[in-house]
Amino acid sequence: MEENILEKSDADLVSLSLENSEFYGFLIQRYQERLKRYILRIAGGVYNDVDDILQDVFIKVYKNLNGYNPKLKFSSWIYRITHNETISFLRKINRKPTTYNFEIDAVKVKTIEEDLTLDQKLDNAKVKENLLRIINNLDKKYQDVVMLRYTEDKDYQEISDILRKPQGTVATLLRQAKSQLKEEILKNQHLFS
Amino acid sequence: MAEEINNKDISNDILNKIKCDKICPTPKWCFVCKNYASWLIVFISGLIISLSLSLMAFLFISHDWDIYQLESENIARHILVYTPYLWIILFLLFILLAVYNFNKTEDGYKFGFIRSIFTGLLIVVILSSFMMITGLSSKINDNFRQDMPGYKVLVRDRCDIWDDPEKGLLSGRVQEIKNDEEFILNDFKDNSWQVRKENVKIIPPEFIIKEGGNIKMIGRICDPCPVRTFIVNTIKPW
Repeated sequence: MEENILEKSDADLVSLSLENSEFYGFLIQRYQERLKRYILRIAGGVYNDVDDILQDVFIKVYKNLNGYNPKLKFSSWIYRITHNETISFLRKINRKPTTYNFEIDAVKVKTIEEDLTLDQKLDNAKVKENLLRIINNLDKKYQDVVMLRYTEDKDYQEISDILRKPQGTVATLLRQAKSQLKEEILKNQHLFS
Repeated sequence: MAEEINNKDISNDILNKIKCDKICPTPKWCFVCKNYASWLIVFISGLIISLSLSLMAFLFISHDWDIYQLESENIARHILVYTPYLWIILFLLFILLAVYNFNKTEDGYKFGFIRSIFTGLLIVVILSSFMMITGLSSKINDNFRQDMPGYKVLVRDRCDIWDDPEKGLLSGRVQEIKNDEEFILNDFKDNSWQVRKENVKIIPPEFIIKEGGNIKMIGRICDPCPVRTFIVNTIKPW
């Protein structure tokens, strides 16, 4: 039966969870790891509190299951709640995320290469490290979209649904971020060759 | 970061918490109502914004700017006194409320800021023009003046300009035409006036004074006269 359940879509699991809360466990298992990583990335490493935030997220998601709109991807919806809960948590403890916590292994280098249409490959360790430094120094206003695009591998529609921003705004922010990123890479060519 | 993440499965903890605390999903109708409530507030705000705009436009257009010097010493003071602050405040307040609630609707964020503002503005302009053209804004203004205490103090309009016989400005309804030179007029506060023409100029010249018609006049109070008398030199239709 469990195998059968694992093949179910998120939307199906939502419907099943509404009938029997036991099924909600499968949704938790499906998302807990990525959400935990996402929380740590946007909250700048709140290791001691991450489980509490995650628990609050899943309880909130459960309470709001009936509010899930199947027109959206479930992942976008749960990421949105996670994003908001994490920001609320930081506000509660009077902390602002100054810079996001991008990690080298999480950055989807391939997506960056494709998006920036660069000639060189960014796949060796040293180059990746330099790339990470540049990403971490990007303007704060770009970090939400850059995080979702280059670590969570979300497309424009998903980013728009997660951040509740129009797709045009997301596209503009990403375009500007990419241009800043490309400019920095070209300026520091020696670090990327 | 990887080694610092504790990857324990928290699904059982959460399911236990859900059971122990008897947590239930909020019913669907709550979300539906919340979304509809946001749209309703946007809709009502849109109506109030349109009404405010149509009243501001009506008050501006119907205002007799050419005779401000009879009422005030300078145009700046006149504008300050006759600016419809109430409608301006309501207009701005409900724009904020509409924007806030629009963003709270399920799909509100999908429309860009410029697109929402432009569409909203277009609807508001069409609605308020409709209110102006059909005379609804004028009627609403009159009703508020009649029935809403304090409205006259907050929103001064041309009735206030033309209700100042000491400054030579008087308006009202023609009650009875006695002869070519005299008629009786009831001002909008229901005071009866004997009106006497003196080198009178009627603007426009083809305008005919009829019993029951509303007019506005420039002239002076007759002093001393046995009854309340106004000597008029300019008559205009209301």
